[in-house]
Amino acid sequence: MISIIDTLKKLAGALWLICFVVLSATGFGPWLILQKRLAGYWLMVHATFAPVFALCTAALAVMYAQNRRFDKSDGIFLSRIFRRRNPDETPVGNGSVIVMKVSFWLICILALPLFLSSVLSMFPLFGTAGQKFLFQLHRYSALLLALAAIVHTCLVIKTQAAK
Amino acid sequence: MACKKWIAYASFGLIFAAVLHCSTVTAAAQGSDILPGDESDGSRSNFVHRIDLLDEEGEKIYLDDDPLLPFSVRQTCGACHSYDKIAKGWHFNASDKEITPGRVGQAWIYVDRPTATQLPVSFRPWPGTFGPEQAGLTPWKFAQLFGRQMSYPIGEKNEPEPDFDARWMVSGEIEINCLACHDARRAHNQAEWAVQMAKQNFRWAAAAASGFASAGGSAKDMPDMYDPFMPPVLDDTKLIPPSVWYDHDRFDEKGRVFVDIATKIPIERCYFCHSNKDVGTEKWASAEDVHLAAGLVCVDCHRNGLDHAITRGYEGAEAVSPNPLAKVLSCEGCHLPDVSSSAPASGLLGAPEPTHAGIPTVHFDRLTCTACHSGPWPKQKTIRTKTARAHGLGTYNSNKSDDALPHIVYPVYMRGADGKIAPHKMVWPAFWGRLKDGNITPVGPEAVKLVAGKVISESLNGSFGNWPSLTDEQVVKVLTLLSSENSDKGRAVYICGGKLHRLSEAGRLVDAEHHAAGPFGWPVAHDVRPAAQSLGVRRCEDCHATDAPFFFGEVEIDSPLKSQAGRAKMMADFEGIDAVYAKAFAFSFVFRPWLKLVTIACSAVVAAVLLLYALKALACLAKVFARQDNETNQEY
Repeated sequence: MISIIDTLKKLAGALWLICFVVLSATGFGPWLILQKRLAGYWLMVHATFAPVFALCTAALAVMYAQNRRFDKSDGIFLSRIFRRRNPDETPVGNGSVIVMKVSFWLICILALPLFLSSVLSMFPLFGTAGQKFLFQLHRYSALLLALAAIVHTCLVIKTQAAK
Repeated sequence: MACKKWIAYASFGLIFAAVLHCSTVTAAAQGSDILPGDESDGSRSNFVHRIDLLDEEGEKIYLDDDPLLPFSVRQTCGACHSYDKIAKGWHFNASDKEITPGRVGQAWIYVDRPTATQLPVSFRPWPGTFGPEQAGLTPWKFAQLFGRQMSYPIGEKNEPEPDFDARWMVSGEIEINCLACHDARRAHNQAEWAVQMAKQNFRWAAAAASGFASAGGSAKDMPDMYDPFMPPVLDDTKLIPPSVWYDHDRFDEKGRVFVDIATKIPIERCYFCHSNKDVGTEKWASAEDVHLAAGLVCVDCHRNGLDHAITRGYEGAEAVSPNPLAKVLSCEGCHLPDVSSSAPASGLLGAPEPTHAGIPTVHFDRLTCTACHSGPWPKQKTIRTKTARAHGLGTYNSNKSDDALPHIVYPVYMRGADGKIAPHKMVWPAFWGRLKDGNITPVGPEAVKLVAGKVISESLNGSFGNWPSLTDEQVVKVLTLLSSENSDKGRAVYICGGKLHRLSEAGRLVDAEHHAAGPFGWPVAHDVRPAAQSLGVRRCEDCHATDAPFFFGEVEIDSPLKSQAGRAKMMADFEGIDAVYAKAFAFSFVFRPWLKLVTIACSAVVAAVLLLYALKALACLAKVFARQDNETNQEY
C-alpha cells in the first residue's frame, strides 16, 4: 500500500513538473520570445495542460500537506535565527527544509488565484475591467508560483540527492 | 520751394490714401469669404428659409420669366452658404485626388448584364476598385450611370480630356443638390431626380425633385446644339424640350419661396442612398437599426459643420478626418469611457455603457464592435442583399427581382486594413480585360459588345436581371475574338468567380489566381442589432462551435459561369485564420465545461487543504495561548 502511495506521489510529482514546464513555456514564452500575448496554438497547448496541472496540484497538496506542515522544530529554528546564537548551542533543524515548506505553502496559496482567475473569466461574471484584472492576477500569480515552484523543486532535488 | 513742399505732402497723402484703400478692399474681400449662412449665431431654433430662387447665372427667377428656368442650387443656396467650402465635404469630394480616402466604403458597381460585367468603380483609390477612367467611364457616362444617387458635382471640369460625346451644354452640369438632404418636406421626391438624370435633365433635376416645381421634356432628345436659354423651335413636334413649372402658391408677394430646410436631416433623406434590402425578406418584417428604433436619427452620430466633413463613425477615422468629433462620434466614443479624457465624454445621446461580462479582452483587439453587433446574425451560408446605390432602390422602375445584379453577399467576416475582423458586404468582380505585365485593364462593355456581342447575347435568358448563363465555350469564343483585336494592349482575359480565365496555347480555357480577381468588400456598420442579439450573448459557442458560421460559414462565390455554379469559400479564409487552427480551437470548446469543472474542483480541494491547515495552525496558536494562561495561573 505504501509503495503504491509512493508511486502515486512520484507520478503526480513528475506529471506536475512536466505540466509546470509546458505551462511556463507556453505562458511566458510568447511574451519573452515573440513579445506577443498568449494566443493561437500556444494557447491551445496551455489550456490543454492547465487542467492536468490543476489536478496534480490538488493531489500533491493533499499528499504532501502533512509532511510540509510547520512544526515545533521549525519554530525553534526560526526563533534562534532572530536572537543571538550561543556558540556552544547545537543547531536545530535545517534552513532548506523551512524554505521548502514555505515554498510548498506558497504554491498552494498562489494556485488558488491562478486557477480561479482563469476559470472565473470564462463565466459571464466580470466585465471588461474585471477581465483585465483577472488577466493580470493570472499573470502575476503565475509568475510568483513559478518562482516558488522553482525554489521548491530545486530543494526537493537537493534533498533527494543528499539522501 | 513751398510749392514743391505741398506737392510732396500731396504725393504722400495720395500714396497713404491708396494704401489705406487697398487694405480696406482686401479686408472687405477677406470678410466676404464668410457668407451670412456660414456661421450660426447659436440659436437652436430653426432658421426659416424664405428665399429667392436664383438661376444658373445667379438671376432671380420670376414666375413670368420666358423661358422659365430651373433654379440652381449652387446659386440659390450659395447666396448665403459657401458652396465651395461645402463641396469639399465627404459626400462631394470623391473626385478630389487630394482627399485621403480613409476606410473602404461602398464603391459604385458598374453592371452590364449582356456582357456579364460587375465591376466595382470608385473615384476614391480604395483597394479592389477601378477608377472610372480605368473602367472606360468618362464623367459624362458616369453621370448617366450613377447620377440617380450620386451626391457629388460632376461636369465638364471633371474631364481629363475633351469628351465629344458629352452634352453638358444641353443637359447642364450636376450640382450638389443641398435639398436632397436638407429639404424636410415629405413632398421632396428624390426619385424624380433619378428620372431627370435618365433624361439627361441635369439642370432641371433639383427643381423637379423639390416638391414645389416639376419638370418635363427631355434633354436627351434634344439636338447637340440645343440651347435651353434660347430654345429654338424644333422641327420634330413630338420632341419635348426640357422645361420647368413652379407651384405659384409657394411664392409670396415678393417672389420668395419657403423652403423647409432642416439641419436635423430626416432619416428618409439618408435612406434614399443608404438603404439595404436583404434578399428574401420584406421591409415590413425587417428590424431597423437599434439606434433609429431608440429615436435617434442618422445625423445625431454622423455630424458635420459647414465643411460637411461628416463623421464616418469608424474607429480611427480621426486620423484622416478634419472633423473634431470624428473620434467621439464612434461606437467607442459614445459607449465606452475614455480613461485618457479629463472629463467624462461617454454616454453621449444616452448611450449605455456595456459590461461585456465574460468576454475576454482579446476580442476587442481583434474584432470591431460591428463584428458582434451589426448586420444580420450569421447563418451557415451568406445571404444576398441589395443596396440603394447598387440597385437603385427607391427609384422608379428599380428591378425588384431578388436575382437582380449586382450580386452582393454578406455578412462576410473579413480582416480590415486595421487588422480587425469586421462584417463586410462583398461583390465578386466579373469583367473582360487585358493582361499586360501582370496588370489587368478592364475592357468596357461597349467594346466587348462591338466585338463579341452576338456570342454573349445567346446566353441572355433566365430570370430578369440575373447573370447570363455563360458556358466555357462562349468564354473561349469571346476571348478568341478579343485576342484578335488590339492584341498589343495585352492578352484577353475574363475575370469572374475569383479567378482569371484565359486561353491556353491549345486554345482551351484555363484559370489562374490574380489579385484583381479577388472580391471587393466594404465594412458593414448598420443595421446595429439590439445588445440581446449580439454575437456571444448566449455562449462562446455562438462563434466558437465547430460549425459556427463566424468561422466555418460558406461565402458564396458568385459567377456567371455555369461551370462555377454553387462554389463557396470558408469564412476563415477571409479572416486570415488557418482553417485547421480555427477547427481545433473550436473543438477545444467541446471540453470547456470539463475544464471549468476540473479547475473549480481542484481549487476547492486546494482551498480545503489550506483551510484545514490554517485551522490547525490556529488551534496550535490557541493552545500556545492557553498554555501561557495556565502557566500564569499557576504562578498566582
